[in-house]
Amino acid sequence: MTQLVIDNLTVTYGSGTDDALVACAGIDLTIDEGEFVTIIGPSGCGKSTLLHCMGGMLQPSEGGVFFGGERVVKPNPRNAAFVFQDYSLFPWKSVGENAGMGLRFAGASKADAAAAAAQQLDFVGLGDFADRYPRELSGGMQQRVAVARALALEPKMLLMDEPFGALDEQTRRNLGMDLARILAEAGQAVVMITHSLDEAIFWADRIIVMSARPGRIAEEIRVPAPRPRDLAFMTTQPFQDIRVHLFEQLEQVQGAVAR
Amino acid sequence: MTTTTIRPGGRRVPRSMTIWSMRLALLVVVLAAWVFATTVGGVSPLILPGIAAVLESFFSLVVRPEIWTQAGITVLEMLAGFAIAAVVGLAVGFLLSRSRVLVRAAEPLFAWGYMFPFALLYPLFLLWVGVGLESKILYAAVGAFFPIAYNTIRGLRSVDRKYLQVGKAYGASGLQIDLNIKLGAARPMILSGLRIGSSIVTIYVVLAELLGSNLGLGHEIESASSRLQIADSYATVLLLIVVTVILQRIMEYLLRSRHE
Amino acid sequence: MSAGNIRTLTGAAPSPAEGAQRAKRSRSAAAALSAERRHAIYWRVGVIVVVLVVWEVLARIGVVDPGFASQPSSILVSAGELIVDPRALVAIGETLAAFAAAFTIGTAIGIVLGMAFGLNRLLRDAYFPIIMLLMVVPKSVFLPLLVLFFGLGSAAGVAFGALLALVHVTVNVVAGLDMVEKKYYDVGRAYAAPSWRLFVDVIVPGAAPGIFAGLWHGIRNGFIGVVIAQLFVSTAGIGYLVRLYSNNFQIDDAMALTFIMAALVIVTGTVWARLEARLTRWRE
Repeated sequence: MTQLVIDNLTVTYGSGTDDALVACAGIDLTIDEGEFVTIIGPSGCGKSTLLHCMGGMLQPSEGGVFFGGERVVKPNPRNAAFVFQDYSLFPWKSVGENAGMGLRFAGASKADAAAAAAQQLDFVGLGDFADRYPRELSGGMQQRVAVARALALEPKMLLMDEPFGALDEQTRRNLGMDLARILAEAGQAVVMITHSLDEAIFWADRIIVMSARPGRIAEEIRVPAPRPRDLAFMTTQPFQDIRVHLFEQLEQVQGAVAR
Repeated sequence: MTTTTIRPGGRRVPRSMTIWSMRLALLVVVLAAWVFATTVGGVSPLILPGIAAVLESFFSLVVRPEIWTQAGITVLEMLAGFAIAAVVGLAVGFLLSRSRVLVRAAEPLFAWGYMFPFALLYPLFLLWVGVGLESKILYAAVGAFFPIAYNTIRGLRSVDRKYLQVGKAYGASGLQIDLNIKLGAARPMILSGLRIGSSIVTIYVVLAELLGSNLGLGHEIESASSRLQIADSYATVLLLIVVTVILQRIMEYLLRSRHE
Repeated sequence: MSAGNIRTLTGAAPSPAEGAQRAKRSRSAAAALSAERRHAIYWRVGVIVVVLVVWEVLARIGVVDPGFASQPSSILVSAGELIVDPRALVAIGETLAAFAAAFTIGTAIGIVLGMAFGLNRLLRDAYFPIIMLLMVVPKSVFLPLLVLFFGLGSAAGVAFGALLALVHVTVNVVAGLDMVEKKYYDVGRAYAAPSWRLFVDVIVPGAAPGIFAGLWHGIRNGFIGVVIAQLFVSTAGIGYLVRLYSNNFQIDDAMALTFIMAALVIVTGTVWARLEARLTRWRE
């Protein structure tokens, strides 16, 4: 069942002036319920812009985004909830309060938010940390809190902007496994921007490769393996084949930029 | 945890003992100078009374309830001045911060206000508001308003955009953003402004009471001086120091930075 | 998951096309920013002008009693007269002389103490808390005592200004020395730098911002201390004049003198801040 439709999306900064910059041009994309889509591409290809449009944070200059048939004009976290690149937990609030903050903003009462937050923190494995403060947590743990914050709203879709960008290799690996399990259990659709080829393939049902200037969809690659997957998947032939293909794609796209 | 220092002779001494004996040494030097000045040095008791006289005066002072009433008045002036400056300063800071242009316009104005030598205006204040409590409270409030408002504005101005993004992504209302995000993010600077404000309030109230008042500890100091009861004057100065230090410490504790 | 990721592909230097795009974007951002700056200046000037005009109008129509609060026009006139009035000039001279003495004494002692405390742990732990305590105490409380000691002349002003300057300078010099990051210090030691080298090349530049702040506080507090003492003691200098004018209801003169002093302080402060920013530019 189709959930999110992006129709001929174009985003132009400073339109009408000499300095107009086209971030995305004519993007068409649909995302189905429960589907996991990763987006990968060189810098400046508009992936963040696209994600922000999907979440209603940004209005397109042309075309539109439709969630469940309705046009998206402002953020509705119960439809699509964000997980930001640097977690953006409020350092002046406790972990528990942070996890419940999304619900509070959406209008829930303190008690309801606290209950949901506690539940989600348990779900991501941080149930005992509710009274701590973000600065006492490692990067990986902070990221989990950010995910809990988003999940507390029981959104139909998660929008993740390079969620592992700031983490080191080991943490990425561990967190990756946990999140794979969590997201599979929760079952919502996910759109994730990543810089890592391996992540792009490992997580996704579908990989969107974007090219830059202006941002366009260069190719969609399907990953037919069933989810959740374990690390062994990365050693299989299908994985390697896709990886080579993706690598070449990105070279081409990057080459187009450099010219 | 005490670390040890090795003194000449090889004896190991706990560090805290060294520190305290140094302080004791300083105290002894000061007291010795005092005694010397008032006895052999021939300094008039109208300038520097003997230690005994001052101590005696101090202890008879602190048991008199009237002096504590005066102390209470002084403290009341400080607290009232601070409360007014804090409320107005914060409100102005938050209201102005809703407009980027206004904030930029106002910031240097408040910085100048902070640099303004308000002491010079006090005689005029006396003319305008009279010699009673109100002039001290108002004077202190005006003086403390500027650093509080300035720090509030600067704190709100430097709220990291990424926190505001979170608010936007989760559909937060303007008020929710103010209370949950801006206030929290700006809190270190706001608290710093409030601490500066509380110290300014103390300074201004004391000055105002010394320059012209009919109530409060400052007034007591002056009137004792004019009655040539110098020992009483010194004793009251000591009391004022103690009271203001305690008050300041309490304020600093209440306004300390947390969780950052 | 291995580290094979797209960064190695895009890690190359930006192409000329990309560079031009970036320049274009930052130009329009800069234009927007300086427009905002201009608007801010208009607002600032506008508010000041409006306040002055309203004040003037209210005074002239009698809502605000000019005998009480004066009006901008007469303040301006007084200011003009004062600048050439010999009594005012003498008072300014006396104040500046007292200030120079207070600043020199207070700052000299403050720097010495600050260095001693900053460089010697033992001295610092023993005696610095006393200075910090003095910081917290509203030092005006010592005015009556200083007057008793030094009499009614300008010596009391010098003493008070010096006391204020001393405390603030010491605290700031210590803070400045604390700021010298240990790692730079360690580098010097690792290369067996002689102490004086360490001092000149590492400690002084590192402590410079703190020392500058300290000097500024020395200036500001030295000046304020002198003026406040003059207000209190009332026989010479600007403080005395302001008090005299106020008590004689010469509001125009009192306010004019105050504003002249305020302008001086504000200008000096702003110039100093610029100077400090220029000299410590390497930091950021």
